[in-house]
Amino acid sequence: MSWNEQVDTLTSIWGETQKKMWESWYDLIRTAPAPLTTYTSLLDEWRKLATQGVEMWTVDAEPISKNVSRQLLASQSTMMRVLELTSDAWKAMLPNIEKGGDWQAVLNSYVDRLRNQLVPDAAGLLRSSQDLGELWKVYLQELQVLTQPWLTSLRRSPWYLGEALTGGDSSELVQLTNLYWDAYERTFGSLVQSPSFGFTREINEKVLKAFDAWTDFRRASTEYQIVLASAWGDIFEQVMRDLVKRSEQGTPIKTVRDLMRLWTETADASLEKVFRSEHYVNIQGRLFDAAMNYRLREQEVVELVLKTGYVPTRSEVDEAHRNIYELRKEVKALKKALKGTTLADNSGTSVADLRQEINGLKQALQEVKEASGNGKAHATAE
Amino acid sequence: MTSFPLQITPDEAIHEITEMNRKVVQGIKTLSTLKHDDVQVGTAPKEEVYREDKLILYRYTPVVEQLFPIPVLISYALVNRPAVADLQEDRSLVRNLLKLGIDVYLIDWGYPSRADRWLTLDDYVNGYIDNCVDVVRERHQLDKINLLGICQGGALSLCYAALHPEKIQNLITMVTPVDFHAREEGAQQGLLNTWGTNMNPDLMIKALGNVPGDFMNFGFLMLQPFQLNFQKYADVLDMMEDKDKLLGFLRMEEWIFDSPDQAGEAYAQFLRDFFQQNKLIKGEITLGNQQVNLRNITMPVLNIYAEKDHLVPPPSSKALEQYVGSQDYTAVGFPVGHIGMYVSGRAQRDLAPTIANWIKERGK
Repeated sequence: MSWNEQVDTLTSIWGETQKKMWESWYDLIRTAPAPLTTYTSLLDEWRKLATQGVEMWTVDAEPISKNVSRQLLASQSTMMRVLELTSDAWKAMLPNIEKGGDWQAVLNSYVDRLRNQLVPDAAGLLRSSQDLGELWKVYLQELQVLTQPWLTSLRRSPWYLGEALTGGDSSELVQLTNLYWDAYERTFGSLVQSPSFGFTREINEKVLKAFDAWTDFRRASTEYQIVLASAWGDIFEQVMRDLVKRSEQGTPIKTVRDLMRLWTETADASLEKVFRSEHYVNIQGRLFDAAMNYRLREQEVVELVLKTGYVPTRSEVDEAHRNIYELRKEVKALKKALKGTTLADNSGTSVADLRQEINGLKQALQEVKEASGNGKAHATAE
Repeated sequence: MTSFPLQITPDEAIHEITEMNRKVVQGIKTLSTLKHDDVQVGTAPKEEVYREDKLILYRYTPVVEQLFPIPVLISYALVNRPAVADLQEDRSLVRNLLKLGIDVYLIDWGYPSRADRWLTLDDYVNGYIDNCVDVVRERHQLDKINLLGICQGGALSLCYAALHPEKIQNLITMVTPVDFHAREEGAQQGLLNTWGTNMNPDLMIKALGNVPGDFMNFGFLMLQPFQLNFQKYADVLDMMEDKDKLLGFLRMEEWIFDSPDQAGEAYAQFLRDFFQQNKLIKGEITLGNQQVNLRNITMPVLNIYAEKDHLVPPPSSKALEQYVGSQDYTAVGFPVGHIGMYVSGRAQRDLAPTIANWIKERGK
């Protein structure tokens, strides 16, 4: 069988396996209680159908069962994606190789193109895992409570950036910028125009600072996406090299799961190299700081809104918690001291004596707090 | 090149996918029927003997009549839950210790809420651990008890033993980071340590208050993203028809994703002072108004580490020998990973006897 025929075979396997997966899930879903919606595109159809099946079958299941079911699905989907990516790559590279082209050069060229295309996909791949997606949910829920439209624009941004990078057309960058300004207008912009606020210098200053922090976060986030996208390019390149090596050694991959294992081993090893690099650690740190700074700025704006509505703010609740914490610590220290005193003196101390001792201890605590400064006194008082 | 690198024949591929799908579908049907009791962890019988804020101190019900005279208090990490020490009946350090006659107490730190944002490591060490130690001492009319610290709980136990040596008879540390910057010769340091260098813990807790458990989990999952997010679940297909194995997998999942939020101040201090500045081995950790000097640890020390640990690299644990003041120091390595220390067959067989024999040899 020629290489060309091999690739055709691989492509047909890809199609057939999709059909098989679809059929299995269709069988499952037909027996489920909820009505079925039909779809048209094969793989998308399978994914939607499978997700629907999992949701229906695990509707009353324990959270851990739901989680594992979704992960099973994600894992199966990843296996298909791996098969798709690999067969697509060989199909694209084959004509050049058969013409006698240098496979190394062909591979490099393919990986370069892929790396550019992966800029938008990096975010998608991150979201494809439920647990990684959970992180983004935590981040974005925590960070963008007030700014839902901005969240939407942030999620869309990698696509626009990807188009700008690969298409060489600056109109996408203009579109990208407009997107952010639209989001700004719909959130902080409209907030400023709220009648309950008026246009005060205080709110204006806080909103502008929040906007600066947000743009910094967006920039850091994009840089992070690019690092990840580049890492995906490296992974792909390494997988292809491993496959070529296997070809040369006469140890080809013979099952879909072995292919998945090859991807897993290669991906984790490549990602570890990236994750250890100074560049990645710096970018990750910057993203993190930018996210935290934005959250703080956002909190300032939210607190202004809350104050206007006579609602306690996060800072005020934190302050109350701190006071309770310090008082509780003080009471614990007093109780401990009292217990020690009681144990040391079994002669039956009177209540008046105990009260006097408590007052003495309180006085001592106060002196310790004053001596160590009020800022960190809670950490040192005993 | 001599052959096409992917030789997946259509028949075999279709068969493989069909079989895989059959297992997935069957697995999801099985999963949908499981109830919470089926996947419960930490089920060894126990009673609550002390409660403070969100902390509960448990005493496990002894299973033999002749008990060691001095009980063991287990102090687990603040990240994740201590249930991993009693994952299920046949994977349980706690049950294995009980069977050998050790009287076991365990600190359950609970789930910190935003109100606990101000808790410091001083509160954990000189407050909670000290109070639990006192409760056990009083219950048994003892001056000293045995302390077993696991992972981060081991680091806290080291601090405690250094500050209150008069209350600890024997100290056991397990998969415990000590030198946070240590690495094998020619090897790199743990990935978590590398990432930790550029984090700003004070900014983090200023913005978030407590550190979300999901954030901690994300860090662990990112250590091997493909393996832990996809391959692990592809491999689980092979155990779908074995209910016992599937339940074991689910219990581990239950434990992994049961991640408490981290009390803000304590987390920031741990990240800054332990991870970033490596102050534990420098004698520069300050808790309350006391400095932690590991040389004050003069009681016998048993340090158990995992030879394939990717979270706490062995050199990080083994470094303890250089810093403790004890003349009776024993280090024991197990050929397992961090989690394998709780659930592997080797650990099930040998870990509890190692601890029990070491204590017995010291006459307590």
